[in-house]
Amino acid sequence: MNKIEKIWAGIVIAILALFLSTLAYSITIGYNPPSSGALCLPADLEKFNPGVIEREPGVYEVNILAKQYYFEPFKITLKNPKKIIFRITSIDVIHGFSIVGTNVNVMVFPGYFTIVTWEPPQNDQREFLIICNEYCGTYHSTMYSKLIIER
Amino acid sequence: MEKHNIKFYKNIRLLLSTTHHTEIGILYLWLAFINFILAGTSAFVMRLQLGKLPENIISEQIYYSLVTLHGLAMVLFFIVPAFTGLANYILPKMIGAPDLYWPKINALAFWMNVPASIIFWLSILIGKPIVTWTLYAPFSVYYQDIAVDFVGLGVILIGISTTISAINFIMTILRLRHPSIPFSHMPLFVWAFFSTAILVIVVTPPLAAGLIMLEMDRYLGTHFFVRQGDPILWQHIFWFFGHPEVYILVLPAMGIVSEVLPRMARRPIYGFRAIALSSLLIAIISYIVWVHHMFTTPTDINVRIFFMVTTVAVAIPTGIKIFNWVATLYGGRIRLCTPMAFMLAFIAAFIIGGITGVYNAYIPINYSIQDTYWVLAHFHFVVLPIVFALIGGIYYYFPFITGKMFSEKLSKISFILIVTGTYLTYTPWFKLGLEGMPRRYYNYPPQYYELQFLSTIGTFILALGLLVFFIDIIKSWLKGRPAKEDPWGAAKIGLPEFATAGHSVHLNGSSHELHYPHPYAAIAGISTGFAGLGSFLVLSGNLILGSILIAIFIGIMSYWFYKDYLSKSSKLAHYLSEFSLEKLANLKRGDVLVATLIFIFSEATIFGTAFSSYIWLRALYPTWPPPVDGKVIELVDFTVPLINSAFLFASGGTMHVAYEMLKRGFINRFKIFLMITFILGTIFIIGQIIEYMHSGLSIKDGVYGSTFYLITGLHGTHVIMGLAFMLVLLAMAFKMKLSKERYHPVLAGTLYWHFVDIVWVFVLAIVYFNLLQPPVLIHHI
Repeated sequence: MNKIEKIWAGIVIAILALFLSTLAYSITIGYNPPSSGALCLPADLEKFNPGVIEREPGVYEVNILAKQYYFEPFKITLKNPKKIIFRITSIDVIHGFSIVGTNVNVMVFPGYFTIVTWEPPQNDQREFLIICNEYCGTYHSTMYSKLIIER
Repeated sequence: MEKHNIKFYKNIRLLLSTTHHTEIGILYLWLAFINFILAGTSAFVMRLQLGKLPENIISEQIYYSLVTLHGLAMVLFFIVPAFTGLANYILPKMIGAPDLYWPKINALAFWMNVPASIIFWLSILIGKPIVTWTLYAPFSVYYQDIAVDFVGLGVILIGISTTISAINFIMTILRLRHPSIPFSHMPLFVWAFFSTAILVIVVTPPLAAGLIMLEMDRYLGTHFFVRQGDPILWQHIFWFFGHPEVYILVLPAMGIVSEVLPRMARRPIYGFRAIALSSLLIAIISYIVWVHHMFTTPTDINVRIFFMVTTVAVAIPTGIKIFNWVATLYGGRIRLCTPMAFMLAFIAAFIIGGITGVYNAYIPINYSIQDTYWVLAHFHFVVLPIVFALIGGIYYYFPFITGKMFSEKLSKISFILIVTGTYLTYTPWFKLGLEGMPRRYYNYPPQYYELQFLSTIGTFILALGLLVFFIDIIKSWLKGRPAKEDPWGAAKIGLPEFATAGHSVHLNGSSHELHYPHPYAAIAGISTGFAGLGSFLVLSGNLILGSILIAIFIGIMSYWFYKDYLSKSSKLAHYLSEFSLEKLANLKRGDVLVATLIFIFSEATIFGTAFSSYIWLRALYPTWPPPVDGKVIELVDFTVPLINSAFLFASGGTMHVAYEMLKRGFINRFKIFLMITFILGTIFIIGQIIEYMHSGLSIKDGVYGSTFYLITGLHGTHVIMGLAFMLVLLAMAFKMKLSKERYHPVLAGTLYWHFVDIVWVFVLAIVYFNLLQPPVLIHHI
């Protein structure tokens, strides 16, 4: 092998090793993205009520039902939230649930609950736009809702 | 060597009956570019809408129909057929082969693309196919518009054509390569196209299977992706095809770069072996990355992490290629002609596209950009370079194909416009994505307007550049100045493009252009449209008209087969008699084995899709079968299937005996055992029908009913196909076309029949006896 090839290969392997070690590190400290899923069978859907529940001061559980072409509830108002657990399902087609400007971005399926935990940034932003970013039909580009934070 | 000229088009009979690879290659390119113009116009209209020129120039329904057609047409109806066409022309010449392995099948595969394209584009005339190119369920199931079915049918037809063509190329590369060219030394484009063909045969049948399951959900009330089924299953099936598909797109383009770049840099390529193997490596790794399209779905995080690692890994072989290309440039004396310019543009733009892909591969980053314009920018910066390589390749081989030279001035103008237009159109999309603009948005909040408008301006420039390219090609073809014999001087520096005349396999007496006396292949290819439409009509309830169309198709194929293999004048090795190869006799048995095994392999992927779907859906339910309307319907009495199995396995034995009898020359015993096999197989089918009728289970009965009938029905269909093939063998035997020396069709049939037996073992084990208990991957809360 040529010397230049060896140098190049060495640099590439070093970069790879760096990337993989960050991956290994995150696995060892159990760093998981705060999203998961669960099945939503018809019985679960009947018990599901869209709305906001405050479990503890600052910890909210927000149940959202997505359908063509709106989220229910349309406007979510939360007071001093520290942690928000969204439980979202759909009753017709796949939708997206994305809080613009944040990394909350999940797909919502009929038959599944998408559960995502979000710690809102402790800054001045009071209004967040939630949009459906997974194509769901003719009026997909009009589907949105709002999250209002009161402090 | 006679160059391709206009005379070819004036004789319609000649055009329809050609089986020569150069002419079929050109036909592929014509049809591909027609589809390109339609798909590109779709995109252009979309960009007018998004650039507000004027506002709401089209409706939402038209917009999303164009989204669907643009995506599918560009990928399946333009790029793949265009490279297939170019490969048709140059690949046999590169390996000293006289033509593809099956010239008539080659023609058939091309002509199938005609009804496929027509049915596909008809969709927007008969409805509004607003399902997008990814056809996600449940929307694609519940949306009631036969435009969707036409889109699916077009895709299935062109998928079958592409698979057939891929098998043809694999056989050509493996078995028709001139003996002086070892596998390790074949040109890099051949390496690339070989890897592409392997990808095609593995992943295209699952797409067809998935589409058929989708159609069943739409019309038969089955439970694959909706009702008791799972929409995520559709995504798995689609992306299992979808991701290797993009490598099917890029590998031939990289192959072209590997051919043109060194010759225009006037030195041999750096790292030949590395580039050759990297094509195979890309193909292999690309099978295990597909979930990176699903990072935002509620899939288990460890599964997603695995796919993140593999996705990062798949970038490595591409990096190897880029390193070697750049090293080639470094040590070369570059001639900056238009083809070279396009290759350099490929490298530059593909680096952007490729690296942005690696960004996407990281799950946390993916969360910020999934379903935004950033993803669109990434993949357009991958496919436009592929178009650069295609156009550059067409320019490069233009003097070989036409004997004329293209216009230096026009080609440079087209290059500048195309590349500038590309960068101007797609670069704003990165910014739009980072600012949060989602994909598949018909309209958008006003803050995105400036970038959208800029992008639309870029589209005008890109379209103009493409127009100049078309004008240049046509004008130069008609009136260009004659080109030299070695137009790029590559042979002079020791890098000839093609294996020279002295190194090619000889044609047996017939003229250089292979023409059929009648346009059988063209008629058969076009009649596949009838088969497709007929099947759709049967599925959607129109049994009589559908059956008539299917019968016409079967009639046409039977007539063609009869003329070729059964009538007095035909010869068994009709196709192979046109070529002569050293060591013909032992080559042929190996050929039949390889071809049959490849075909069986592609069929196995269809069963793989069905079994995987069954296992996936099973894993969703704590109890199996899950109740339907409160009741659990389950098959408990296995008497009938077990008796059936005995007949099927027995028929495997008798088939083997029949084959052995023929090889020993006992023709009558061969016929008898073949007939016994046929009877046993027919009893199996009758037994299946009896089981279906007495099971109390219908295809609509929940996910259990749907998957049961899918798997056993697929198997039964293959049994019927095997039985039909046995009738064909019997016909050949009675017409004295089979003998101790000519046993090869029976070998193929025997292998196929054993395959059907093996699949039945899996059906018994997995579906009847539940031997595979999948882990429950996703839980109740």
